[in-house]
Amino acid sequence: MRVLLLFILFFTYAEAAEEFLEFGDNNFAKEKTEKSKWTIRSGFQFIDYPLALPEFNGQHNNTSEGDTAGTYGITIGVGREFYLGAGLSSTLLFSGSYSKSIIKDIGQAAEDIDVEVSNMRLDSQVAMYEGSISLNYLFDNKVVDLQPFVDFGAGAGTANIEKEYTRKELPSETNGSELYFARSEEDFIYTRLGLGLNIIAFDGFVSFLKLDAYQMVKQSISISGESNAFGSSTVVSLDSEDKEFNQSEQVYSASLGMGYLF
Amino acid sequence: MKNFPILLSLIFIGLLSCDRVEEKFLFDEDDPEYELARQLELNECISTNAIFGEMDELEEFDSAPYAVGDIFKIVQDSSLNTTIYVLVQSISATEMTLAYSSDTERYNKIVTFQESDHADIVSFFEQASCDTDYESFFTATGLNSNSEMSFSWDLETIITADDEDDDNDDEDDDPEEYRYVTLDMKVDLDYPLFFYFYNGKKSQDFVTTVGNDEQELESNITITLLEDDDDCTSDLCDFDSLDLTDTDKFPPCDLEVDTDAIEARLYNTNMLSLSSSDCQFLDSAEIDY
Repeated sequence: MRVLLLFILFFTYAEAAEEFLEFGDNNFAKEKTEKSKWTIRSGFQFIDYPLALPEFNGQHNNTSEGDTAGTYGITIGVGREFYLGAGLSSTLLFSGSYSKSIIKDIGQAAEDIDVEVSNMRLDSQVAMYEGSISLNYLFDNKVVDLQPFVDFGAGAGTANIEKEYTRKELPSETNGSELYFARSEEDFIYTRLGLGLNIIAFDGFVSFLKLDAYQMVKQSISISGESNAFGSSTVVSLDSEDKEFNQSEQVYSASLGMGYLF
Repeated sequence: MKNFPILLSLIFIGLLSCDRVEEKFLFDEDDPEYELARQLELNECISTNAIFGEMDELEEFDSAPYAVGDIFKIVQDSSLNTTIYVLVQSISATEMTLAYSSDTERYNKIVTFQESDHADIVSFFEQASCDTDYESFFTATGLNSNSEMSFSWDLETIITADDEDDDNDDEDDDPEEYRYVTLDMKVDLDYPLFFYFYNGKKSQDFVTTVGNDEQELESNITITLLEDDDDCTSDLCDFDSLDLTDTDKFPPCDLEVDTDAIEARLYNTNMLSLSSSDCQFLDSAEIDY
């Protein structure tokens, strides 16, 4: 579903760009390509955010090191593209993003037994803001200009992660119910290296694709929650706070969007 | 493309609302947890449906919504037209007695209804309504109600099955002789629990001689509470004038409950029975109780 929407979005942009060509001009105006100009960007982002929740081995769901949450969201940016000459330019961009996801896993007893024995909900929200600079090269084609670029960014962000897992006790089991609830509030900083492609149509409308690799450092983390393992009657608190967490993670993201050069 | 911003907004909303929900099945029939999960399903059905809780509340009869002296009027239509009046003679926490007076004398009796009988009937309804093993022939509705539920119970007796090897046999696969009974009854908590037997429709479709056309019989039974003496316009409900101590006319009998009756499929299956052969239930739609 999400992939379908992304495709619809991308080709909608392409169609929008083509429409401008109908007005007679057949290229992004020459006088604009060789000048510095402002730009605004907006798009969609997928980021596979690494989780740092306390470990738990449940009968039907585990939480372990290395778990990630794929979040989807929007990015918005504004900046200026500086023309360097010979098709080269550099863009200084300030942007922010917000992404989220809710994943629910329902464990029904069996195909013919309509009872939910286990339930898991993972709610992830990630907000980031950054400054970036890119090096672009414009292939000035007759109809649509192509502008591959590499960019480097640095920024900071916060994440709120909440995971809840419950399992019902089956008849004749002793302490067969399970509970895991953890809420994590995280602050992080990051550097980012991205590779992308701008497709520039008439009058400065841009569609872009981009892949990014982040080096993320989670600086602080605050966890609240509790767990109750299978076979135990003891509820264990998961509350903890670490202001000097400093855990480093590799994170990847992909984004797709549109922009305007003016 | 003037609607482009709207399209963009819709896609934004679509993306953000694309939450992932996955459902998986945890056990299969070979797993030891499978039967436990079935039991859990049954327990949850019983605990989440209000009617069963209400039935449990009424297990001690002194909290019953009716009282000593109340008279119920039971009327059955069709060819077995019958009227029965039932007087609540006595009520204690654990037991009640009910005097039956009818225009059909064989229905006259004094019935003792025990708290344990009530519990057994509740157990029957819980099992029959919630165990999916029985859903092909027993369906209950109104389980979330606090006052009444209904059920439909299909019963059958195949007297002579279809004979595929007989050249003279008809072309269908239906049995040659059979009795199909459907009980569409209402369990109203304003009455003693076993009064469901007198509240609803009983129908029978049957062929008892090969080659005969199918016969259909139906009996509709209703039950009402006589609000005051003015509602009693018959000598039958003037219990003060009746000698209820005459055991020849009003034989004493205890109600008995077969909690396993749901397993039986014969057309005249009845979870209720009476301890004495002098005591008879109401005949309906030629179902031979």
